[in-house]
Amino acid sequence: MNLSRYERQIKVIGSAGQDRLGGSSVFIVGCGGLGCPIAIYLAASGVGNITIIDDDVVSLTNLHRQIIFKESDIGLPKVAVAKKYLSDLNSEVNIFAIKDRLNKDNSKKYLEGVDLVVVGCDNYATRYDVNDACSKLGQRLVNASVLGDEGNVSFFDMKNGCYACDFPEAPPSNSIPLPGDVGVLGSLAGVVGTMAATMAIEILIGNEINYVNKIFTFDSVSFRSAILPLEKNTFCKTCQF
Amino acid sequence: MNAEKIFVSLIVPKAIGKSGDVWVPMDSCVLEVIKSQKDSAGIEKILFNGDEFNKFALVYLNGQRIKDPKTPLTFSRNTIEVVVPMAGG
Repeated sequence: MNLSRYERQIKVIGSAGQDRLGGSSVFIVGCGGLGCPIAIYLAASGVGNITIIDDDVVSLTNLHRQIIFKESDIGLPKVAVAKKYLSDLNSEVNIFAIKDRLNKDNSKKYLEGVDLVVVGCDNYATRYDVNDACSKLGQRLVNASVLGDEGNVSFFDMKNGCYACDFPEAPPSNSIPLPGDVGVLGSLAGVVGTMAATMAIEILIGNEINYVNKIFTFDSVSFRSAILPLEKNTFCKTCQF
Repeated sequence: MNAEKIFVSLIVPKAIGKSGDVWVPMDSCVLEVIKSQKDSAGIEKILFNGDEFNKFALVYLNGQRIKDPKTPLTFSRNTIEVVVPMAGG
């Protein structure tokens, strides 16, 4: 590995931190508005093994926020385009692309053995399936989401709670608008995606205590941000039984 | 500032409602502040049966999670923040 490309980063996280990144594996769920910046920054920072799963193809409506893709990629599988982009960006990291939709049946197979799972998908069902699998496997989970001009990032180490501890079930339909209803500000996905990538890097180098059971919110209209506590639910049907 | 009233900033995700600042009587509780809002659609999404928090709405008073809507406001300036799960990516 050519460490000179990380020279300025090593001044911040040290050689030991850089070595940890190089030896780490991250599984990114979703290659959309969040997954793109997450993957770019993890690859650029030298995370040694990055897997991205997504079953979608690039469309014109993706391009305002999914910054890996170009007009010429429309119609191509997102993960195939992402793999080439990320490999061109940093040939020293291993990029694994899976064109599939993560679900209850395949999540355990895909997530077993990775150091960290980062979710940036666009639906509740996958978030709950990933959380279930992470809980069973004891996998650490970063959950990132956006809606309109707001977003948030949270971290669950599974020993102190999981996503379902605070959100036991998906909201009933029509109670909270979906991304297709209210849209997403393109650059906001970049802000929240880079927050998630930064959190992932800090967790991988050993700073996870700063993030356990907290939700970090951001509103692009006011630039207001908040750090709020989450909590373990001792009656959680996902992680306590 | 009215000495008999306290200030509350209510912060609600735009996807479900409207945020706003209000002055309420000193003995008010969180439920009364939420119900004082004119945004009835937003209130319905925060509250279940009118007097409980919805399961998917996390409510914080001055940065601390609360589960009892009748939690009293204890400071002269307060922030009530509502967090909901978001699906978008």
